[in-house]
Amino acid sequence: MTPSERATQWVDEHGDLLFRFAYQRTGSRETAEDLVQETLLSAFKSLDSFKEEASDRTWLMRILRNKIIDFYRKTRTRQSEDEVSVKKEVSIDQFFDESGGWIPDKKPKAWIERPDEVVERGEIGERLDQCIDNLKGKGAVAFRMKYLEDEDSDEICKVLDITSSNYWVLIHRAKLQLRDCLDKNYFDELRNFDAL
Amino acid sequence: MIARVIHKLFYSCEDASLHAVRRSQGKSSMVERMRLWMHLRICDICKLFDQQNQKLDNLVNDSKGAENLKASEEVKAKWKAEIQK
Repeated sequence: MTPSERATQWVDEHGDLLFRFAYQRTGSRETAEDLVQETLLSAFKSLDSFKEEASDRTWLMRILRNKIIDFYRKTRTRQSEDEVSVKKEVSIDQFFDESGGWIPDKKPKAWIERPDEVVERGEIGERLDQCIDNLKGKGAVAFRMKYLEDEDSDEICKVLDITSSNYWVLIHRAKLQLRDCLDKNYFDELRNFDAL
Repeated sequence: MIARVIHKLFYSCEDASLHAVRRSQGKSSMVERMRLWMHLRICDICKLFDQQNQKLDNLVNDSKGAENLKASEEVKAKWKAEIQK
C-alpha cells in the first residue's frame, strides 16, 4: 500500500471518529472539518517518522488533540481579553441577585412526572438535545466534553486553556441554562396541559 | 437579615447550586458537602434544583448514544483530494 493509499484509507476508517472528536471539542462543524483535514495532512507528511508503536487511530487522535490545543491557543489573542470574554460568557447575573439568592423568575419549579415513562423519555430527550444545542461558547464545549464524552475535568481545562475555577463557572452556568431551558420548553407545556 | 446569616453560614443559593453541581461530579470536600447539606435542609428551592440537576444528569446519560455525528461524504472527498495533491 502506498502512503497516499494508506492516508486515503484513514478517511474511510477513522474520518467520522476524528470529526466527532473535534466537533465535541469545538462546537463547530467547519472548525472540526478544518482540524481533521490538518491532522490528516500532518500525519501523511510525517508518515516516515511514524514508528508504528501505536495504531494509526491512536496516532491520528494524538495529532488531532494537539491541533485542538493549538487552535484554542491561537484564538486566545491576549490573556486579559480572554478573561473578559470568559467572565462575560459565564455571567450568572440572570439567575441570582447580588446577595446570591434566586431571581424570582428563575427559581426552579417542581417538574411534573408523567406515568408514561417511555413516551416522556423520548420527548424530553428531544427537548434536551435542543437545549444542549442552544448552549454557546466554551460552556457548550466544556459541557459536551464532560457529560457526553466523560472527559476528565483536568483534560478539559488543558484543551480549552482555562483555569479550574473557570471550568466550574462554565459548567455551573451550563447546568443552570439547561435546567431553565428544559423547564420552559418542556415542563411548562406539561403544566399548561394539566391546567386545561 | 436571617437569609444573610444563612447564606454566610451555609452558602448562598448561588454557591449551593454550584456545589450541588460539583458534588454530582464527585468533586466536593467533606466540609463543602456538609455546608451544602445544611443549606438544602432549609432551602426548598435549592433542594429542588439539586433533584433536577440529578435528573438532568440521568437524562443526559440516556441520550449519549443518540449522538451520531458524521462527516459528510463531500467533506471526506475533500480530505482525500487534499491528501492526493
